[in-house]
Amino acid sequence: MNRLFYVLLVCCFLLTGCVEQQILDKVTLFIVCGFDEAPNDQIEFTIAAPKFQARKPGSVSDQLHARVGRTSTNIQEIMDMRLNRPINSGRLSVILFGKELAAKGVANELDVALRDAQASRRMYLAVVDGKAREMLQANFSSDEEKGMFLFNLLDTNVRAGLIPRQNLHEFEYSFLGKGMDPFLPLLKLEDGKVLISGLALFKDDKYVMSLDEKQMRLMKLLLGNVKHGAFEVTLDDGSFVAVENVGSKVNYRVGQNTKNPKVTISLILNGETLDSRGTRRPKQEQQKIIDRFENDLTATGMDLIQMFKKEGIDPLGLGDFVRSKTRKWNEEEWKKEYRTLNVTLNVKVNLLEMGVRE
Amino acid sequence: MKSTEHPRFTLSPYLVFVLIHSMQFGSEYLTAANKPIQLAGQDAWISVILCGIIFHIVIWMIYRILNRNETDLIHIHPLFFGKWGGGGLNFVFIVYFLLVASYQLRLFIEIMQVWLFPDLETWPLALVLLVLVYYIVAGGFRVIAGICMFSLVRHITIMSLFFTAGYFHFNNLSPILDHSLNDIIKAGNELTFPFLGVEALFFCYTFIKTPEKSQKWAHLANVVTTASYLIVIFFSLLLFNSEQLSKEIWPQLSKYKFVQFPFIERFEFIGAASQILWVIPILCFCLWASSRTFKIMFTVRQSTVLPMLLFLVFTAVCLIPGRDRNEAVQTLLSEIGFYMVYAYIPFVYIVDIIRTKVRRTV
Amino acid sequence: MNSVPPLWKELSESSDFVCYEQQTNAAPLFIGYFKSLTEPKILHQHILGRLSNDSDISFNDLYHSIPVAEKEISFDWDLIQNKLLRGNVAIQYGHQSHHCILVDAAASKGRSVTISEVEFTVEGPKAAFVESLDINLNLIRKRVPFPELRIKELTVGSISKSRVAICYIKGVTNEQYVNTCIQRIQDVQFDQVTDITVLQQMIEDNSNSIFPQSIGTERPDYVAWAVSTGQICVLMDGSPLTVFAPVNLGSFFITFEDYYLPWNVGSILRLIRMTSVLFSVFASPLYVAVMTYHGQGISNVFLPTIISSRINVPFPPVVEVLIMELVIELLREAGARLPTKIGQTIGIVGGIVLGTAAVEAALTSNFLLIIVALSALASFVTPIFRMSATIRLLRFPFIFAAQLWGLLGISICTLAVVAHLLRLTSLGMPYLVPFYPFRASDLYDTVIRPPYSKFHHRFSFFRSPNPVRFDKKNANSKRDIDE
Repeated sequence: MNRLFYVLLVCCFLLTGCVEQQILDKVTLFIVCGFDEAPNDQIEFTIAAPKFQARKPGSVSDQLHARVGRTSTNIQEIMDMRLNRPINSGRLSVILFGKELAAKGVANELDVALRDAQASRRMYLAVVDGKAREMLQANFSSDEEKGMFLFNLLDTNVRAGLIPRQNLHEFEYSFLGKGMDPFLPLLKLEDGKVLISGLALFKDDKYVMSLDEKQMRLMKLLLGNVKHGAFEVTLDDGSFVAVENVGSKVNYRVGQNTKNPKVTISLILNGETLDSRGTRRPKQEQQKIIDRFENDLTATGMDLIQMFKKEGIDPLGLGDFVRSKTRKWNEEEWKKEYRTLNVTLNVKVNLLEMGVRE
Repeated sequence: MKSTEHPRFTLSPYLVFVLIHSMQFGSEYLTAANKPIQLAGQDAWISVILCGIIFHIVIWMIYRILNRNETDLIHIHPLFFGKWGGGGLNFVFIVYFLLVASYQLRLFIEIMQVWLFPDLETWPLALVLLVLVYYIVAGGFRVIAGICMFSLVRHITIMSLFFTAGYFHFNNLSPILDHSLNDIIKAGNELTFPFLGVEALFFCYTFIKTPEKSQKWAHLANVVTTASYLIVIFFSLLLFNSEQLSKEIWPQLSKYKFVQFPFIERFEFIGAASQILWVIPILCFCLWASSRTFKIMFTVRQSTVLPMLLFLVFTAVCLIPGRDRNEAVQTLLSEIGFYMVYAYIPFVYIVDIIRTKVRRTV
Repeated sequence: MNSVPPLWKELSESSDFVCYEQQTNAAPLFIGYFKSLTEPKILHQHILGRLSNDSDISFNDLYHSIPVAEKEISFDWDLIQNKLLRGNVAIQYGHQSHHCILVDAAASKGRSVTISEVEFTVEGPKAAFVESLDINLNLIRKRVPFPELRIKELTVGSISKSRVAICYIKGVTNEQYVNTCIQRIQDVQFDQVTDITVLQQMIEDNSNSIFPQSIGTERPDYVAWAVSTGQICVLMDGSPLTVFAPVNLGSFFITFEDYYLPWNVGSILRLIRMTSVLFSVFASPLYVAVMTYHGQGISNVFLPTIISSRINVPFPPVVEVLIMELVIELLREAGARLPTKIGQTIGIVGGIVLGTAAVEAALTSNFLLIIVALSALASFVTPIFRMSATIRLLRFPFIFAAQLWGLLGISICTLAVVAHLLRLTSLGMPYLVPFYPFRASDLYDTVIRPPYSKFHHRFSFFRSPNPVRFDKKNANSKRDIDE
């Protein structure tokens, strides 16, 4: 009797205790997916599912699946009905948003990823200049899987310091946080190749405007301390000098007057001239380069900040910074003040080295 | 009245540190950061320190009560409140410990269901864990303390959070003292529940070799617990802003999503699976304490009571359906804990003082 | 033959029992011995030779005239019988007297001391124990020429009557352990105790555990070391293994060669060995868990490699792993049962041919092949054979748990093993000491092998009455610069 009970218990246990398996090679993975605008307030959801080949880890091709529907979960169900292996979203590493959809807001799409315990918080988001599906259809990477290519493209550029880091977590951070607005890298398809063309700025979760590549570099300097990146400056005689950034420091300061806050941004850039079009620059001319450079950066920077104030967006997180320096900070009041906020930008450039040659 | 156990079963005083720390630092640390940060924002760490200090006083009171009577609470109760009153109070503690065990187990299973296997049934996991608990508790108090000691390995997963340093926003810590004292105290009140666990001292007292010397270890345990919660709170503040936190149910597990190693893309699976190190020590101690109280109250064999209590916990766990109900149990428990710490222990302490005073005058 | 004393009749039913009467002037002598047990040279030269020449010798004179040291007079029949069965010659003087002279003429046939093969060492001493208890005791005595080394002899088994010797140093070993050990050996109720490994299973604290609670070694130097730290060793006649206890878990992962290498080199080797044990237990269960449930956990870089190696494999990961583990176990078992030369060939041929064929036929992924082969290799690193068998078997419950609940299953299984280890004791000493109960002063010789200057105390968990090995103060102090 006793033995029978245990046998029954073990049977019950094995019958109900098992959980659904997700064997890695028996599911359809996707590393990149895209969201696009579709008529009737629907979304078009595209995934690029990698097709692996036995014993050839080098050659992976992609299969594109795209469907229109109202929610991405539902679309995944519909896709499942056309696939021999069920979809597993756990490996998703890059989400692309079509520009039109981004303008309408991406909060709903993000919430799915944030709510999913299987999803990474470190996945990259990007806005596509055009349609995400079209980008995924293009054959932009020959030797690598598309998702891996896009992931590596964004990852290496973030690590190299060319574009400011913005992943799912940080997007949500600045989207939900008070006194800041998110931004995302802007991808563009040019001659069948993908390139990062600038930054897409958001107001809350809605895409508003974009920055070009030069503005993006300055934006990166204003967002934090950077150790990489090159800048170009035109001299009076029309020649160009390139300066390699070997370490920049940015410092924000709030004026003591709490009624009418004044934000001072000071940027110190240590540079190294490497490329001056072959012409030898005498020592005396260095000061000129520096002056020119400082003026250039200040002008671009001030333009940027004016633009942000005009649009009422705060990708630099000035509001959050002021909050951390003021007691009893109020978001409503700040939004009113922001358009007329007094921001000054001081740039100081030091040229330290000139490479190995005089 | 001196009643210590046979020297073969007693433990070195330093194990009090291990025991109290693992009892205090339970799975509720996963959610501990939420409410205090909602209430006190960047000043929540002050609440943690405040709460830590209060628990130091509680530990001191517990040791005064125990040292003066030289026995555990199970024997003190009938001594103070008579056979029936004391027995009733002992019974309350049995129920309390069983409730804590059920809550912890259900919370753990819930985390597994949300983070690892959405289609996992409650009862098979509960069964396996309770069988494991039976095996450990049947080994005696020495083995329970050993499991608590082994569970200290979990601090490695906490330390792994330093790998998230790239995402820290130090802005979130200032301005300091932007919240009213009222808010900070309210936040501290929310932290009482995570800090609970010092009541274990009442029950393991007789199993310590030189109980008087173990007080410093109990205080040290509280210090380490406070430090652990400080780390938890600081990481939450630095990684998330309060708007994000209000949307996260288990921010501590979400934090593991930022950890990355060359081989391991995601750490949250390891983080979630390692939760077992938080829950098993508490389960073991709760069942040991309740079955031991049973044994002393009704003079029955502990090994016959234990399976029955395990079965009770098992049914209770299977009857708690999901998130909402578990939250209700947590609210109930934190209320019980609140009264135990701020009303019951001081009350016993005062009764104890009065008793000694009266006896001295007589 | 009817004049043979009645008691001897029973024995003479065996054909190898020789028993005859020799007439002398004084009284008839009855001589009995087992032909198969005695050494003919001793028998004929020193015993029988004396008897024929002197015709009227008295009982006492006869006793004194035999030039063998190990002899005695007894009239206890049980003793006489036992002695006869151990190769003694019994001489009974006269019909009525029950007094017998017992002279040891045992033939010592067996192999001589050879090189240790199971626990081989490159630099250390090569001698290994053999089947003879006396030779083994001689090997130990030679290494411990210390008057306090005590050897207690017991007999075990109602049929086998195996000679068991307990060896310890008085004043270094805790008497409680000695008493427990003797008590347990005396309590053994078994007829045929063939080998010390059988006895080992009978006297261990928990005989249901897959973890051994005493170490069996064939190295006399290791035993000498163990005795000097306060452990007890048990030897048995007919068994080339010496068992010592109490032991903790850590000591199973120590080869004695660690002590022959410089401390830093030895420590690194020991660390490698311990990590390889963890690898061996956890590698294939983790493969199952990750492939079945936690595919997200693998880094993007590994993804194509792993998936493309497995994509045509028809089995779920757990079946794949079980097949491969079984193949490895088979190869090991086949290699162990065959003569050395053929065994090696089988291993190589089986390994290479089967492995390649399995991958070619898409029965397994080559990624798993590497994992399984490595974890098998890692399990053989453990020097104590019983422990390495334990480690090989331990991974199977982990594989099943991983199949059931992935990482959660593995963590539950780990906790169960830890709980089991916490409950285990060896001669009453906790198995996980010095980690639990924690003894900071005893951590020196666990994970690393420190220099010998750190060995000034014996492990406190052996509860030795004399815990000091040498006085730290008297040891040479370090010299200053240019001194």
